[in-house]
Amino acid sequence: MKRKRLIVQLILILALVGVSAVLFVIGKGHQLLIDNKRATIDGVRVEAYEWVNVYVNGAKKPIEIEEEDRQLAKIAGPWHHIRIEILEDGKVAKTLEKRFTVGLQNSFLLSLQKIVEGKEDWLTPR
Amino acid sequence: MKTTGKRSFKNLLIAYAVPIMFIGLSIFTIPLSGFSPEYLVQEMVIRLARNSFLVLALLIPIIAGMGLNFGMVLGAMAGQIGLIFITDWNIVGIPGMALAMIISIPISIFLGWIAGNILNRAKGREMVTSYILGFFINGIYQFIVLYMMGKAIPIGNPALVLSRGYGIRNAINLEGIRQSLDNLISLNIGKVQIPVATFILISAFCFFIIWFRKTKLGQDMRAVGQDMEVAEAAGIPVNKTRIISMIISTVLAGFGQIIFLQNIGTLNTYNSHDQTGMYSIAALLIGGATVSHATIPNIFLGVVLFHLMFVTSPMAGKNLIGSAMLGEYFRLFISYGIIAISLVLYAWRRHKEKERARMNLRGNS
Amino acid sequence: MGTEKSKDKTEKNVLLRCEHVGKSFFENRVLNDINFELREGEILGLVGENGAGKSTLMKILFGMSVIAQTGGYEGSVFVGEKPVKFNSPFEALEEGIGMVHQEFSLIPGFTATENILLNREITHYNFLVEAFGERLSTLNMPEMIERGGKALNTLGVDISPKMLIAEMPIGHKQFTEIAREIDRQNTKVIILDEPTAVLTETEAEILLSSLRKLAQKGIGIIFISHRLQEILEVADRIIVLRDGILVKEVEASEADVVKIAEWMVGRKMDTSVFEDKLEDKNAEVLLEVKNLWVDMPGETVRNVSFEVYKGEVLGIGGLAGQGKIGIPNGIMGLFPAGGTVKFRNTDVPLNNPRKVLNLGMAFVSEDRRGVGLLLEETLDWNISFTAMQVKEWYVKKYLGGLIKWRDDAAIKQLTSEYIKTFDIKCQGGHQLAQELSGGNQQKICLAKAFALKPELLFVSEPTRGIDVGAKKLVLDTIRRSNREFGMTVVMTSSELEELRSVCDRIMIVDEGKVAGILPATAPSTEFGLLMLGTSETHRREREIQNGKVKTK
Repeated sequence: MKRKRLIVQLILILALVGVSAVLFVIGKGHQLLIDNKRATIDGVRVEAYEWVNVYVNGAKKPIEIEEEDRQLAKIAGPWHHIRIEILEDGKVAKTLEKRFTVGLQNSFLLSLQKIVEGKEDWLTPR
Repeated sequence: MKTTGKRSFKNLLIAYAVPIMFIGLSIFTIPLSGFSPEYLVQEMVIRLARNSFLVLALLIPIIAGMGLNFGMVLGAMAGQIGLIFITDWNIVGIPGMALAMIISIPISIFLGWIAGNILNRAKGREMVTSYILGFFINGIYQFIVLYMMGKAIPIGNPALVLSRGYGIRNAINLEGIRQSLDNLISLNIGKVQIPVATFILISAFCFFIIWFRKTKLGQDMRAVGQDMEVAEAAGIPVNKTRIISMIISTVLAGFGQIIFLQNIGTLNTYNSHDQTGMYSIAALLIGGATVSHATIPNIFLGVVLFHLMFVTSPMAGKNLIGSAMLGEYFRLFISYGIIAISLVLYAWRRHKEKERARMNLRGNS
Repeated sequence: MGTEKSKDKTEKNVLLRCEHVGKSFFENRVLNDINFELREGEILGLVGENGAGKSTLMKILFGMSVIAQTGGYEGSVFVGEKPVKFNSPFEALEEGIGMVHQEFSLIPGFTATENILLNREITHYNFLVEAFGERLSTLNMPEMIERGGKALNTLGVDISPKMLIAEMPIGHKQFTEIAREIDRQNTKVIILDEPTAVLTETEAEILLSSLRKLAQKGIGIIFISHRLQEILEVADRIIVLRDGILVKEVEASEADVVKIAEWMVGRKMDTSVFEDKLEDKNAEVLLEVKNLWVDMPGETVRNVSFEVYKGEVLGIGGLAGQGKIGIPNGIMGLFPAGGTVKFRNTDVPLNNPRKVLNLGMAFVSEDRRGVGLLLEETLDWNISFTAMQVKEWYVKKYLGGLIKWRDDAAIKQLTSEYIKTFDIKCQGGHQLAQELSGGNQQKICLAKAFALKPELLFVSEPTRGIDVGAKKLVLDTIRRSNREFGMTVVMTSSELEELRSVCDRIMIVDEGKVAGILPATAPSTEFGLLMLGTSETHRREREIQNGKVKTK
């Protein structure tokens, strides 16, 4: 009886530790830096876009990024998705949606240019 | 018949003397403060959500006969240590709060165990002992937070650490979890915003207490609370039961402090826990509880009345005499004064009851 | 009834047996070679004076920790045929011995059921038990109430199992306590220590009949009572203890009240120290007490009327807790009191110690170390303190009394005077009171009272806790002050022989009322009967209340 209780208690404590680990991962806050800057990709120069609206995790209000600008988004947990609207002359020229996961690092750099160009390394921890 | 009716009315008056006094005071200060009813209702809702959990944590030691327990300050410290860690790790939102609570549990259990053991050596003087114990543990807390953190305990976030390289800053921004619980489910009734999730948690706590009173452990606590010798003679492990009640109370106070601070949004590392015990006890007493008896309605009534006074008196003071300082002074005066008055009233009432119980032994007068 | 039981007695099993049980607290022997047995379904009456060793015997049987802490006991106790040695009451309960104590061990805020099943609650299982232990199982209240009700029904009383103890009359509390013992599945023996002391007559009747019912179920009962009538009514066999010795074991049918009283009191030395008993009935009345009540916890005085004659020594006797100590404490204003008290035909204000002292009465308290002495002060101070405070003696006055100084020289002289007359063993007036032995401390208390030069002196338990030699000195002092200085004395004592040796008349107090006043020369059995509240006394008491008999 005592032994059984000890086992149950041990399991409970382990479960609590497990829950803590899960909470740590899903609650971990990150800074997402979104760059709209001119870049050279595989030797090709890609210009910055005139205006980009970025919707992080289904937010109703976009993060607006001008040419040659960098904006900060606060995100928590490992799983995210973003919707990118690239505007030209005030009209949406191109829409892009992406799902991604992040590690436990504190901040990540997201390059709009690399996403649009279809490169793999568009998200880098820094 | 008439006399018994009169007597029971008088007894009722005596039993609720403190809340009645406060309702009377509020009748004066509310109009004097000039606050709108919506504002006051909103304030009361916020403060109920913010403070009720902390005050509820006082209930279990009262059931176990340990009186009004300043030991809850220990739980508050444990909760704050949890918050410092999650802020350092940048865990945000509800997971952050939950993690802070989990971190606080072992610390609270340890502190509660210490407090329980010490209070077992000071039976009948729990209130003052726990008050002083709070100061003592405060010293240890400051040592850990001011000297160990950043040195022995790694703190990565430079925003938390004092410029000298170790020790936690005086004010910590809890923006990661600020009102995350309050805003989880938010309901607007008229202009009043109601933090539904917080109230769900508080009512869950109430149900826990109701359920707990029906357990064997709860029954044992009630027995120990009423008569230690009899409980001991019946084979109830009195000291152990008292320690358990302290541990439960400390853990819950830790949770309460986390809920309190998520609403406030900033942690004053070295002060936030200072007033926790005092204000919670004052609120409970204003609600009509005594050292030996407290109910769940006492808590909500007490929180509302105490904070009504708290909110209105500075403004009332300003409008009346032109000095908000007077109101500020007044509310400090109130919270200490009320504890003193309630304790005196309690002692007086007990004396009266004793006398009444012995009345039939007196002469045929 | 008795014959029927004695017939089949031999067939019944022995539940409890004591062989050569003895006990001494350090040097003080309280029990010696006790042998008895208790059979199934038998009610054993246990009687004896205060201090005869009844409670010590019960403490041994119930395994109270005091016994083990003071070196255990001699001889052996058997439950059935099994020798036992209990170290705690729990072990006794384990073997089926239950005890109902004189003080209620009930929790006032709990219902009868909750008290009966205290720490034996019926519980529901829930999954939390697996993690946090049995104590997190929930209570099964309906079943508990049923079981509590059953236990109460066995007793044949009509008490709701849901009633709060705090709201119960005192008798119901007693029944609840007994129900708790019955509820234990294995209870074989129940020890009842003065269960009827707090009950009304009808309640006592019910209790006695429920005890008989229990006995019929095969439970053995040890019944301790001072009410001999009850013992005779309910017990099958009676054992009498006197001074730690089992002096008599007898079938109830072969005993009567007078015989038992004789066995209890015994043929003690009747040689009085002072033979010159005052018999002058025409003496002036110094103190007249009418319908006095005193609310002194544990010594409640309910309704007492008596007179004290000038120049006599009046003794107040009675069993502990009956109120004899309450009388002087009430008159002196130390506890809330009511009624009329007249001293030299002037009304004495009650609840005002200072006024009473001013009138010329003084009090030597039974609480020597608490009320009686300033333990951390010198003898000088102790003896003169009350006189200085009350009479402003030994005080030098200057500027028409604005400035008052102690007159140390006078105090010294006073102290050395009393040290000499009372033969106080000390190094001198400068010694601290706490350094003296009990007997000498008592003499200091007397000296302090004498320093007031009172007309009437109350002395309460003057020989409590002091050795035999010192006792005699203290009693001599009291007697001498009475005979030589004409001080009227009212002396309270639990020891009848002590009262008989010093007093002229002795008043016996029982249940907070006067049971009777007899000259000290009356035989001790008569006093014994008065103390025991036998039917004789009750009749007398009723007559006193009805005013048929003057309490002189």
